[in-house]
Amino acid sequence: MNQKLVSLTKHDGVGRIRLERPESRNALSATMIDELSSVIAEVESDAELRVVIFEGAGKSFCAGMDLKGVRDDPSAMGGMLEGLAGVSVRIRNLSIPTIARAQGAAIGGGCGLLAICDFAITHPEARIGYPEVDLGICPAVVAPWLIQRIGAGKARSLLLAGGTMTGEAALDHGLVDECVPFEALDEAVERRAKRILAGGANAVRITKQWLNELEGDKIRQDVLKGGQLSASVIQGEEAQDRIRKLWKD
Amino acid sequence: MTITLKQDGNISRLVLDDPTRRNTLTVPMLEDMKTALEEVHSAHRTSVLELRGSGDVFCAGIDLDACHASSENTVALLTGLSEAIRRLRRLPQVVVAGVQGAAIAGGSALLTGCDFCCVEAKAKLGYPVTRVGLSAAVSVPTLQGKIGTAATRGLVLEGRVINGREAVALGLADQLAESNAELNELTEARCRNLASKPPHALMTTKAWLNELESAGDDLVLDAALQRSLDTAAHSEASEMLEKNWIQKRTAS
Repeated sequence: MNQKLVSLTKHDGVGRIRLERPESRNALSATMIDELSSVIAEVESDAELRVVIFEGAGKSFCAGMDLKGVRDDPSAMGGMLEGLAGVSVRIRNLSIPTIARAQGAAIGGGCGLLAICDFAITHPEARIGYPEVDLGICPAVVAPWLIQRIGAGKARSLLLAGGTMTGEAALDHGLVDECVPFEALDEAVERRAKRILAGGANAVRITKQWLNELEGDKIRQDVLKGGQLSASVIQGEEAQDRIRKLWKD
Repeated sequence: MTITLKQDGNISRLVLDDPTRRNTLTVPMLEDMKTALEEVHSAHRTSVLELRGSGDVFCAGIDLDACHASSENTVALLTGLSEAIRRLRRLPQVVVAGVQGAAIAGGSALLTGCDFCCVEAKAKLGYPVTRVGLSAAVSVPTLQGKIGTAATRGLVLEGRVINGREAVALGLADQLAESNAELNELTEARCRNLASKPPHALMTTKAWLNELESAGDDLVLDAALQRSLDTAAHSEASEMLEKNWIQKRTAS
């Protein structure tokens, strides 16, 4: 049996979804997106779980989409973006709180995960951001989530400016809720999870569902439409040129 | 002409160019601006627009002398301002403003149509318009999009003037310059950085952000303009313009 690229462990009401591809800085491949979708289904159906933590094995949380693996197949890239859009809606729709533990790097699609989660915690040296436009890619999937998290004005300047920032800057922008020394990252995540567990399971669940309901369906439709838009832009000549150059040397 | 427009490689550079009047938005200037922004819109080689004001002040707002002189002027100015915000917002190019001195009322309103704004720390921004009986309503949808609802209420209801540092903290601007020289450097660097990015991805992203944000919709902006027009048509506006603008200026 193949080694799983996304694992789910459960302990005392806490689910841990871990990206298990450290040798590629947990860059999301098509298989990983499928596996992520499967573990989300498992979380959805487990009434015992009360909080879920997203983490990455190794030094990085998630370096974004694994474009290298499909560098000769633009339509596969498009398919991955649409797949990721669908999974992001399902993560957001979970009835329990989600926490992202972002160590090392949370870039592009990886940074998208931060924007979807209810809480995101990182450390000062982490590289965080959305360099999509630099690669000729349109960050259309994350845009609705990011607007929701940090406001339209800030989302506009971050997404159009591209590039990455430090964990501290991410905290200033409201992209993460906490930025703690690397050594204290696990403790900070545990503390959040414990605080959630200290609340009434039903109260937390109903509150999360209500927040999702207030957010409405339009944002979810926008995310799916964003998946199509991103897919079309990444298959264009401009993006393909830039992507090819990434592995030229 | 009160506006100058230059095409510089893939950057369009638009300057409010009436420094002796602190780049006050007059009816002719707003008309020149409309023509210039139409030209930028169809400038297919450029992916970035730089918006600057010549002289010591970016823009001192709409021409209150003209508002005082006739209600037709007020209608033309507020309508022209609303149109300028929409045009900036809807340009395919990404818009970078550089603000020195002041961006007051209509000047701040223009910034809400921009994607980026670099501001001098000592610059004065805000909407001190209720004291002349006018309402910042025309700018509220795009302002709210930029800085959020709570901060918008504070800014436009109180009519407080803020400095560049506060403008960055609120999100009306996103980059702070400690001096005029640094403002020029940062604005230029940002324009060049954006202009070096793949234009299709950049402009598609802007268009998508516009689509996601209903603040730029005509329905919303028409209603906002109407509120400002209705307020200006109230007798209170002409009285307060006389008292707090014309008389104070004559006295000074």
